[in-house]
Amino acid sequence: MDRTLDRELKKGSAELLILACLEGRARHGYDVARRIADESGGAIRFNVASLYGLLYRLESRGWIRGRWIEAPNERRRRTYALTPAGRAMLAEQRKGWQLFAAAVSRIAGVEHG
Amino acid sequence: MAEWRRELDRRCTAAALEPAQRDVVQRELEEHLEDRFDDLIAGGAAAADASRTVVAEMPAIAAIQRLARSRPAHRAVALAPPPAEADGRSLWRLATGVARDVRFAGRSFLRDRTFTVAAVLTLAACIAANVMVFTLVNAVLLDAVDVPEPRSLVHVGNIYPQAGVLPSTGGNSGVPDYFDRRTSVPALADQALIDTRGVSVGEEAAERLTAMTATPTLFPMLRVQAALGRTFTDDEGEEGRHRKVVLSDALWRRRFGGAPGVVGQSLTIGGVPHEIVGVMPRNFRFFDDEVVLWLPAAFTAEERSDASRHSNNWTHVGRLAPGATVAQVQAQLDALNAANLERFPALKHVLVDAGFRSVAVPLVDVLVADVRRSLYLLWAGVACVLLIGVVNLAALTLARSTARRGEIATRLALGAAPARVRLQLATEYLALAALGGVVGVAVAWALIRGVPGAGLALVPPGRTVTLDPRVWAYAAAVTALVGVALGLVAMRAVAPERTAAGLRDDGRSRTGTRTTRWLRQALVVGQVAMACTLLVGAGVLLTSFQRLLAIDTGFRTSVVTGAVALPLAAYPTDPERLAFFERLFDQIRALPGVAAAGATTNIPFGSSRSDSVAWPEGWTPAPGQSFVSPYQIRVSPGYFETMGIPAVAGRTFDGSEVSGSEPVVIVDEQLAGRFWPDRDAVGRYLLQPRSPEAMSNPTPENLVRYRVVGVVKSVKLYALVTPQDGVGCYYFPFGQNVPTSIVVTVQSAAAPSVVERDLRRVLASLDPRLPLFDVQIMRSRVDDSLRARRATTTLAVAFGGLALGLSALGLYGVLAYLVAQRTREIGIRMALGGSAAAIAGLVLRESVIVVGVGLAIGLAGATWLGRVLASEMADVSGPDPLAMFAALGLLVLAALLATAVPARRALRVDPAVTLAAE
Repeated sequence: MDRTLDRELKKGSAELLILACLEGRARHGYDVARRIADESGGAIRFNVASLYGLLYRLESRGWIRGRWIEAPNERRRRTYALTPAGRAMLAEQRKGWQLFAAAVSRIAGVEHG
Repeated sequence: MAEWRRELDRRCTAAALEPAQRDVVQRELEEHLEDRFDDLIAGGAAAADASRTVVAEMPAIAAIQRLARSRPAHRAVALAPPPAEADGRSLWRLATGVARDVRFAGRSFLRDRTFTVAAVLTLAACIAANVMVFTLVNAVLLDAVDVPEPRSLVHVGNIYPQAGVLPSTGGNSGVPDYFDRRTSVPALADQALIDTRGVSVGEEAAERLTAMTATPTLFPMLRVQAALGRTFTDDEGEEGRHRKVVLSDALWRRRFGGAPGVVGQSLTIGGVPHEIVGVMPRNFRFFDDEVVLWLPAAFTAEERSDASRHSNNWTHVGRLAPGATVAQVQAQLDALNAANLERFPALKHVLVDAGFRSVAVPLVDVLVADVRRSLYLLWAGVACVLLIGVVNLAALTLARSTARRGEIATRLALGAAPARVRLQLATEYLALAALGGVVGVAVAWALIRGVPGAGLALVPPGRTVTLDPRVWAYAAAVTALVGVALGLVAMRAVAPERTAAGLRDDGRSRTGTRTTRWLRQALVVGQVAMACTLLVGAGVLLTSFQRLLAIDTGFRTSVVTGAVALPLAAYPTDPERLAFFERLFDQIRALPGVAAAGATTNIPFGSSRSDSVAWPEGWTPAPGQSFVSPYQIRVSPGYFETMGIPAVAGRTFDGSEVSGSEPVVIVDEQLAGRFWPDRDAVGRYLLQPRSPEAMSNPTPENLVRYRVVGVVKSVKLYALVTPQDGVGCYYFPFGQNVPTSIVVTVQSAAAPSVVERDLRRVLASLDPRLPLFDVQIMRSRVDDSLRARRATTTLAVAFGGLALGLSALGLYGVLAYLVAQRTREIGIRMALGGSAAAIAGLVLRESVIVVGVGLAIGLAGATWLGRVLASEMADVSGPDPLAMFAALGLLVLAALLATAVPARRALRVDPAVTLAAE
């Protein structure tokens, strides 16, 4: 596969993964990374720089919002939450991914069990 | 510092980030990597290996630079001290900062639900008690006289203490006094005479209303004007021009629908038409809140004459001249009275022996004399309750701050300005207090409005009780005070030496020091002492109130009473009135169920009272001995039988006493004992002077001679307990001096409501113009006289209970803290074979010391309070042993409960667990 396509694919899916991960509740960066790693059984791992690069980009687009949260006897952390725009984007990306995955499956002849 | 942290710092420095970016990006990376490091350690990695892995995963310098560039522009971070800016923006920053602090406080209290609920409940209870009492103080004391400059109004009243005539509220001054004082007391710039009485208003089915008769000087003196029309002119205070009336706003709206054309119309009062000249403003009230109309006082020549001296039927009020004092008024009154003694030498020794004086007192003090002390005592009581509650909260706050010391230390170490952290702590506790305050005000309001015994009884009828700005200001002040006090306690946690201890993050440094423990014990001792004092005080009030309830009034309390007033215009002569009354009584006696009926001019526990000098024939005062002025009452035949007042000698009135027959009188046992101590009173003669001179120069012409035909049991006349022994009373028969206003008394087997309906029907059948008013059972008249006492007692007992509960919580807190603090010691003791008794003894000893010292101090306070109560209230007999024992018992019981839980916890300490935790 072409490296550019690979990168775009990964980038697109990474955004989707992060948005989906923040859907239920706000999380801090490390939590996002660990959750994605755990849920994917270790198949998907972000390095630190790309994780925060993504978070910052999503935030500057207004899809997520980060805030410092402080709790007694706990460290201060920056926690990210979906904005309404982010929620809409998540729905859109989900649909796009489904169409894409279905198309790939059809062409590649992969059967969904 | 861990290796990875140093490396991150190096890379960020190398990336040459701007300070703001560095503050955010580096911080966030650091948090992330620290989590990763902790996870690795938790997964079993050695620290060095974990650190190496973290460094390997750390973004390179270039990646960090890229990250910083991709970061959206950010506002200042919460912990950074705000840079100094132009006024407007820094104010905005401050406002947003405070808003953020409040949000933060909200979250922090949400997490700490137990603390929050306990604190808000405690605060709400304490603030509710304070706001409640203040609302009453405000309505009763501060609003007692609602006219401009109320403190410069002065009440002047005559007293004759040796004759049994003591200071009273109104009805204690005469017309000649008024004219004397207008010329001889220049310290009073304006003066007025007033008198309140019931009047029948309207022609058909007249209604009974309260009117104030006043000299036209009243309104200018009060500095109030009519809202519509005018008040009285000077010449309307003269006979013949005085048929004028000024209406209250309420009466104007009710009777005339608020019509502006009412001025100039006529209103029939007591059967005589009066011209309406004005309507007072809506909120105007003075002296008696029930007054709804004002009539000009026009004095007859007889009333103005010297013969009327010391015939005290009026209330004298004056306004201090600018710069004058009450003491100056008193001095001028004394000088005037001294001069008058010389002007009327015949009366001199009588008045001197009676202890005659005219007393000037600020009007406000006279009006609230009976409830003022109760209210101030209650106020002091709730202040103590607040103090007890705040001490509990301070202890809780201290414990909470100690637990948060680590958090605060971390924030300070990360560069948060101490002032910022302090401000945030202060905001937290102010917000907490505000929440408690709001709940407290709501609870207070609900209690005042919703619970009948909760204090409205202390407020004169007709007075509105509102949460006016004064009450809000008071509630806000109390709330702020509590918030600031708690904030100060919390701020102790930010003191440098404490935060240093916090950073060391040493488990034991988080518990209190020896001084803190000592302080907490001292505070609980104070709580127990205050609670003990309050409880005993409440107990004393309660027991004396129960004694009051047990007092025998001497009359039948099931008697139904109702008032009837005959207008002089329609019933001008004695025979006409007597004939009417006899018809009325006959018809009432014929009603089904009625066993007896009669009437009196002065019903016991009613508002009307009269006293007049009298003495036994043959008596002359010894040098220095005073005449006495017993109560005089007129009664109809059948009155004593109806009221169940037995004759102990002779007979009661039987209707044979008529005008022209020999004047007769019945005396009560008390007066009989005073006048004829060793002899039978029946058949003796009682003398009454026709004029004051008769007292010093008695002649057959200036005396009236009454033959005593009977002696009746004494009854309670105006109060269950009077400040001094009264001098007794004597009864005249209706037939020889027919009254215009009477109170009918009926003893019936029928229900009171049926009796009332029958009475109204009978009265309407005789004269449809006459209203029956003030219908009450005797029991409710007695109860009414106890309203203020009942309310005071109820409130005192409630506040005493609150104090007890709060101090028990405080004791529990200090003991639980002790156990928590000494868990390790207890564990070691147990491991070394310490017995359960010894361990429990540890907790018990602390409890006994704190409670014992507290009770000792509290009992001393209670003894003092008992004395104060006894001196303030006629029927309280000082520190009451029963109340003391009851209060002590309650406190000890509460202390036992508060001790039991921590003691059990101490016994359950598992040595294995405690020691393993080390």
